[in-house]
Amino acid sequence: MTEVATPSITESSKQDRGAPVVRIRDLHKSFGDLEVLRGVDMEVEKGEVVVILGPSGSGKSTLLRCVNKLEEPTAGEVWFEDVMVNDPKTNINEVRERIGMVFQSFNLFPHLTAKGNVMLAQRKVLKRSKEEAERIAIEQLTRVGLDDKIEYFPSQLSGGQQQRVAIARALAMDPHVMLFDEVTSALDPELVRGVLEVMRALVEAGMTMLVVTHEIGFAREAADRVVFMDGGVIVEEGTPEDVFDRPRSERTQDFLGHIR
Amino acid sequence: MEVFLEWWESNPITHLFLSPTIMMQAFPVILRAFPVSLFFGLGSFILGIPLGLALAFMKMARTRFARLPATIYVDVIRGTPLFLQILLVFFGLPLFPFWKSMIQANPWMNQAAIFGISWSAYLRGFLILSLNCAAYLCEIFRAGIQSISRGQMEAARSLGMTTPKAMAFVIIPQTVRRILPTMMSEFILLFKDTALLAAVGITEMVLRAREVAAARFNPSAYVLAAVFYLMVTIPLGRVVANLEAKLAISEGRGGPPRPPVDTETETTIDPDHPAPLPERARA
Repeated sequence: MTEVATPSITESSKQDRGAPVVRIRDLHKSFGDLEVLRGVDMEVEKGEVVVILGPSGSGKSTLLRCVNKLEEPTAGEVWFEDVMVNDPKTNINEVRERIGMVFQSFNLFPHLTAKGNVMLAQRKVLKRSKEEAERIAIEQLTRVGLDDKIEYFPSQLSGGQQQRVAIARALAMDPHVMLFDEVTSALDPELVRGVLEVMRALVEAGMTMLVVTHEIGFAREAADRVVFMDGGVIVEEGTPEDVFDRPRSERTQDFLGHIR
Repeated sequence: MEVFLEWWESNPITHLFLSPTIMMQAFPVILRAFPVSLFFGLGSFILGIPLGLALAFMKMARTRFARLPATIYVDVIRGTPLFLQILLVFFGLPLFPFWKSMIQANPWMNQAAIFGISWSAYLRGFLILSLNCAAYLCEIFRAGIQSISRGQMEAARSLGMTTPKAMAFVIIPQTVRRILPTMMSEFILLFKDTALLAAVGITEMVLRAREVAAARFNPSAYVLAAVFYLMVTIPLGRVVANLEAKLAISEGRGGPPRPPVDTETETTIDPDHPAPLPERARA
């Protein structure tokens, strides 16, 4: 059992590509009268890095939150590997074990140290032994460059450090896919770099990633595919070069013009 | 010294309220009643915690069937005087047939138990005090749980925790720290309110003080009883204040950060693993 600890991200590599990890079919989501998603289709293959761009209110965060059912889709299907996430019969907790999520507001558990944050779900969900969970926690915190902050409480860490603890917390569960929901938006500009470096290292390690972000630089160099959303639908998608240098849609051009 | 004592006892103010002779007589009497007050206060409080927690979860439930009864209960209890509730339970319950048959079947319930108070009086006293306390605790718990940001629950759920697990390991521990001062204030209130039990003949401190005061026609015993209450409430009040200050620090609202504990990370790093990222953003 001790060998289980090796995170899957080091095992998988870009060569294993092909198997879809996340499949989304005609996804709709409404909040009351407000229709946020109006039919989204998307597929994310193993090892693929997909960056979702779009103006605020375009539904990109909602789309991400539908993948692990933090939001319940109104219609359509969300598949994770071979289970339908929004099937009421699916044990959603088993699905979530394998989907790592990092939030804009970190959401670290303030009553636990960095190590405690990374250990909690390993112990209570994966039922790992204390020793194993601790070893993996230290390993993952080291990987995000926080080996000197293991016993710190979140309130003693900077925003960037907190966000990296949150990434370590998700990685410790050996996720098959990582969801990043505007993870650098709440950070001071000088702290963004450290978080993006951790994410780049994850890309290098072959992690399957779905990233909602406004960091065009990151999207350009790290993404395999860029998806531009507006008004609850995918307006345009393609390689970073396609979307950034030769945007076909007027809305994409307009959006890129604004953030440049 | 004797002259001073004589003057003290002849001065109407000091004699009436601070008579040493009366207080010396009252001291053992009130001291024996002190555990009664503490017992009712502490016992009802502990019983009120699970009740209050259950009510809090009912009030936060999605279905109205759970919310409505809890809301009505809390509104009624908090909207009426405790004194009235005590009278209602102490004189109302014995009129119910089920209570009568219970006493008939268990005659020992009317016999004196510890501190010379009958089982049936204990039952009714704990019942009404904990029911009352639960309504106030319910609101403290509910406000505490709802003050934890929604992101905490989402983060816990996104890691695969069930709602009960997330509650037990993420939400409740944070809530407890946050509401501990308020809970202790609630205990202080409840402890003082045990004095109302004097009205239904439970021999707690105030009733004992009244007996001495009436017998000696001198209210000094009341002052002594007050001192007994203060012995509990003032230190507890200090604890509450300290807790609040500590909480402010741990939640990052000022104060120095706790010194970090050094760990033996060197020994546990897996050599097969990628090295830590070379450059780190520093705050």
